Amino acid sequence: MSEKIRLILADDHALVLQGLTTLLEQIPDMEVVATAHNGDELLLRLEQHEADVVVMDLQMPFHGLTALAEIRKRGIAVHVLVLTAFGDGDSIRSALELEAEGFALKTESPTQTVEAIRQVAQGRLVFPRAAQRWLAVQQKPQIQAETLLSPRELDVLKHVARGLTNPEIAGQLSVSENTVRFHLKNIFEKLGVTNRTEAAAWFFQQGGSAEL
Amino acid sequence: MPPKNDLASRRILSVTEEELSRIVLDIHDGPVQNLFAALSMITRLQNGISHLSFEQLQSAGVGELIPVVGQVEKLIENSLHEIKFFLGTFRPPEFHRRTMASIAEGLVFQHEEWTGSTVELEIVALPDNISLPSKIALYRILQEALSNGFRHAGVDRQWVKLWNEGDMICLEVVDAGKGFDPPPLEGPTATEQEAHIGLRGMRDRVALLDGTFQLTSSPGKGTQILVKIPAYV
Repeated sequence: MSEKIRLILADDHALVLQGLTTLLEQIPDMEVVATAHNGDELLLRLEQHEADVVVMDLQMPFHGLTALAEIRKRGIAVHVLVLTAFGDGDSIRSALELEAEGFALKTESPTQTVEAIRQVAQGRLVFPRAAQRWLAVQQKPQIQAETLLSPRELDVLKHVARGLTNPEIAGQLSVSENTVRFHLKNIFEKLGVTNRTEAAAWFFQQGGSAEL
Repeated sequence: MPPKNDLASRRILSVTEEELSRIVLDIHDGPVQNLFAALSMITRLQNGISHLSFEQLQSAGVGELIPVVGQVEKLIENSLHEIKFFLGTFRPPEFHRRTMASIAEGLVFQHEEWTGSTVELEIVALPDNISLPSKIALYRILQEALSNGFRHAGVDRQWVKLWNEGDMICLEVVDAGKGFDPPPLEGPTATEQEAHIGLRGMRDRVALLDGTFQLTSSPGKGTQILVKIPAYV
């Protein structure tokens, strides 16, 4: 990625915002375009600024939890990384149910947060290994992947489920990135989903295996 | 209807969990946020000086201070790690909102994350309206059993099964590890040793709810814990 990753940070702890901004401003491929202290402010910032990734705590006043749902509902094209101090099953499941694309912990080194931002910005899903059991059972299966998707689309979806980015998928399937994007658009439409997390969740709940 | 004292003892279980929850939130809102902010700033500092040569740092008169920055970073990182395990261990799940199956799944997830081990979890249709004290007891017993198995059995795989028999909820935790000679847990010779605090805790939680607790183990033969607790108390 040649351009900088544009970030909006949302956290109700002013010191966390200050510390993270200080750190991220210095990372060459990142740029903090706005910060917010609560859920409502985050939605406002998203209207005012173009961003690639939102880094947000879910436990914020004024609709912290619903802000993420609202981002998805409005179809805002932004990747979301949840940054929280709680790494328990309930918290991860909330993030997954609300279709976050990544999960980072405040009890780990901020260097890990920086790396998670980079991965999420590339379209990867960043969740702990043991969380895949929930990715797999988010929704009940309704239709068979094979009857709904073309063999090529199924191929692409498998790679998405493995956490590959568009350029990586293009490389693996020996096609252009544009072709991958084209297939993805069709896949999203056919499955009635809006992003990669949902598409991967759909794939796993069909009993799909990411093994090739 | 259990005697009044028993009711009070059972209520104490949920009061204790609520108090724990409050302590955990205080730590979450205060020290964790501050430490994470501090660590972000120190990482910024580290990144800022990492491209300077030793000579440049020496000529600026700060050469000997650089290792100190690294030490501070390490100290804060270690503190956050300790707090992470504290929060994870003591923060109660949402007992009121979550079903027993979901609570057990969350616990198994966390155990796998922390230890890198595998837990085979089997849940056979459980009722949705298990009493709060029963859920708390099952949660804390499963937590202790998983942790014991990982620390002492020397294996990285455990099996957990939850099912119901009439009005009793049954929990079985099994490993094929080292095993041990279990101390007596009942009667006049029952252990009061400090080392057995985990086992005593499980036994006492079960006794408080009029359940049964069975520990089967011997050296080289693995360990099985079987707990039966009334679903409605």
